[in-house]
Amino acid sequence: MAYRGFVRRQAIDGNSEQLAQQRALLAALSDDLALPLIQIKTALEVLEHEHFNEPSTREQGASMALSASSGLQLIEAYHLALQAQDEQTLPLVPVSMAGVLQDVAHQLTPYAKQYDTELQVDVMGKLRPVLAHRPSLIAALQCLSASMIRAQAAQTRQKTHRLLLGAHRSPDNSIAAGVFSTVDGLSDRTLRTARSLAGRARQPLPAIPAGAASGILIADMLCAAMWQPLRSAAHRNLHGLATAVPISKQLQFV
Amino acid sequence: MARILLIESDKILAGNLKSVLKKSGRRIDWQVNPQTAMDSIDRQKPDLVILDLLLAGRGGVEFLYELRSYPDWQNLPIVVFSSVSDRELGRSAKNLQQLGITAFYHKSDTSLAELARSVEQILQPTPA
Repeated sequence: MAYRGFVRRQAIDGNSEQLAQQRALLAALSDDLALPLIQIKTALEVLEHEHFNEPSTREQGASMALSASSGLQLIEAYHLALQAQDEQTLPLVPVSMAGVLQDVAHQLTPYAKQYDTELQVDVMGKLRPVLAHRPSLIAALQCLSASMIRAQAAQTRQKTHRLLLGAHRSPDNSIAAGVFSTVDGLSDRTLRTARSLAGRARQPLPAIPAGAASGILIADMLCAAMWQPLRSAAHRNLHGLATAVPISKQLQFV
Repeated sequence: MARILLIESDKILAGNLKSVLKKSGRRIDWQVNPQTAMDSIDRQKPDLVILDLLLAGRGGVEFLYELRSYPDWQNLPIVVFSSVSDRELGRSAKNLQQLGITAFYHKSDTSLAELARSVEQILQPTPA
């Protein structure tokens, strides 16, 4: 018995060591990936001033800059998720969910336009502020939305798409905030499977094209570090992924 | 002509920064590591330093500690242009403030135009 326990402990230690190594490698890789993206972003800025005279060239340049910025946002969100895992508790402050959704929609609108997607913010009812780690909440919604923009555009060849950044009060007295679209195949079950497949499969979320799933998994990590991981939800007849934010009893008196 | 010392380890990024900053008619000196940067400061006497925090050999924070220990350079404006965000820096961000940095910019979400505007504002002569 004692020997079996010893072997099991060794296996766990071995696994955690392997995980730590993989994590360190991924952190270094993400840093190294950020540099070429910053080089591209800044080079485009230099070119924009000097050589982008043709409107079509300017448009291409702007599109490349948006792609580089989207990659950088994803890397920053990943760094934040790693940091959130290391910290015992994140410092939570009162945050207006409607304000955060507006900010994220505003920031992502040029990126969404590239995919012929219109971003809308829809907050149902008057919602009280929630306690959140604002940078993590913004990063989670940014990378979740960017992934859904790409996923939705990859599923159908419509001329235009609509993506809703929404929040509503749930029956369990929490606020569900997330991103809703016409993307099919996003259920709690597929999310659970994706969590276990992360790092092992090229496409952990079958409904999402390769290259978009990491944004959802990073958003999942960030939300889990604050409150609860993502879950499937519906908002105005659209399906999506949302996090349930507990309503702070203290803030109800503010 | 105001002189700017750029301490940046990446050649391509330094080239892009120089292209944008030169448009304002500033003279840009570029160094890749803290030791040569310190020698350059003594020699060239820049009006402003743009500093990356992740450098070869010694880090940017360590470089700042040394720089501020010399009476001549205690008020030299320093603009940090870093690949590490202030969120990631955590407590070290407070140390940077104590070391008297003038501005902090994160490379991922700052355009070169924003950085150049900030540099121009800092270099503007203060009214007597």
